[in-house]
Amino acid sequence: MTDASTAPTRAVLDTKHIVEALLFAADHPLTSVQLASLIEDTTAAMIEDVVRGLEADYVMQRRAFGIKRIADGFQIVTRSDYAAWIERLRAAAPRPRLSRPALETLAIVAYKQPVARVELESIRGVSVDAVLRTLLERGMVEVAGRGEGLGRPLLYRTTGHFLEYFGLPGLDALPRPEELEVLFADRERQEELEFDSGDRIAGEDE
Amino acid sequence: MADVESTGHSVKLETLDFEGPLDLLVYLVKKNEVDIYDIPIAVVTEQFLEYVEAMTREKLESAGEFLLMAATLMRIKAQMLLPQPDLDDEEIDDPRRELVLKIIEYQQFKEIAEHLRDHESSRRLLFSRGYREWLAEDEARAEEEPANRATLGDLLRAFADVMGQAARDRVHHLEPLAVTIEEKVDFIRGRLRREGRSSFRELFVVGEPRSHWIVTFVALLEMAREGEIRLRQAERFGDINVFVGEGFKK
Repeated sequence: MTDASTAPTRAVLDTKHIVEALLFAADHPLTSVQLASLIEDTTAAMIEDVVRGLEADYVMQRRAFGIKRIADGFQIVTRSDYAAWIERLRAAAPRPRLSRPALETLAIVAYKQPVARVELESIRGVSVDAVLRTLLERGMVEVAGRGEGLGRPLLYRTTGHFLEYFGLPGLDALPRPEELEVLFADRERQEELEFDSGDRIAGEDE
Repeated sequence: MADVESTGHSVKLETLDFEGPLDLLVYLVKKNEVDIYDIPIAVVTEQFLEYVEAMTREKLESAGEFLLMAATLMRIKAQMLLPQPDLDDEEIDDPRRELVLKIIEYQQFKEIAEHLRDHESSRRLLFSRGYREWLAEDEARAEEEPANRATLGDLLRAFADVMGQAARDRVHHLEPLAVTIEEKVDFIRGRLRREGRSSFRELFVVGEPRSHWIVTFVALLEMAREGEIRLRQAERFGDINVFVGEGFKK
């Protein structure tokens, strides 16, 4: 092994390999900005290119791991094909998934943040007290401040842990509202309903 | 109107579980294959009530939200039966409009929740360095979940206990309350600031009149609602402890 005095200088090492080493050693996703700040003479844009090259290498070499974009950063993760063996290493019951009310509440927070509890309750039509507390304790949401309304209610937003938990690169990785299937009827009528508040709905009255 | 004949549409729902009244409505709309923009309100109301009736026997706690919706449905139904005044033009607001918007919005978030579920599933198959620690943290967080959390029932029980020990005033004085909720909130904050936690009992100052204890209790409820404090119970029917919460004001 080399010690500091004989360590190769930056000049002879590939940026790609330095990035690889950093991603290999890190416990959490590293952003391109973080990586660029750690490596001399690089920019975030360069890092993005390098990471793409690395991932292409891994795919070509059929490595058991790859680079995933999570929470605005990059992380080396094993490919899902190998999950079964890694679970054995862990030798424990699979961790509990989030409940359906928790997911619904999180979905609303993700789109409406910063959002007050009353709005969550009005959309879900039920009390969100317990579920909101679970989400706070699991670090999925946090207090973002206080709103203007009556009693200056607490406002909530999603956290970085939320993105890591779901393996999302960022909030924009969630479907945009207009991409959602509208299960009930054609879109035109829905838009009519939402935007032309004065208009009658449900087509022609008999 | 199409939605007057409602007989013969009865449904058996008792085996299904719904997150709330909107969840049930989404189900009924889909099941009946009706146009969301032209819901046959009489049919849906009838089926909704059937479910509520079956439900209230078992889970009374969430019945309130369902009953509230049932009342809304019945109000809409009544409005639909009234002869529409012959208004010149616009401004005829379909009484179902607001409800329809709510159902659509809720349905959208249900879908997003399903997307999240998919992400959760695929994320569980990917492992990174440090994932054991990461999972351990996540599990530790998850473990603190409902079991240890004091419910309203626990609180009321604890409060009844406390009140049982309060000095009972022999004579009833009709005086304005000598203490405000704000003062008690400050008192609780002060205690938590110094010690980080407190037992539920300790917050009720011995020797104070009962009315003060009631104000203390209201202050606690208020703070719990605001997320200023967390109420925990180590075991069922055990002592309740009060901890600093996310929204605690320094």
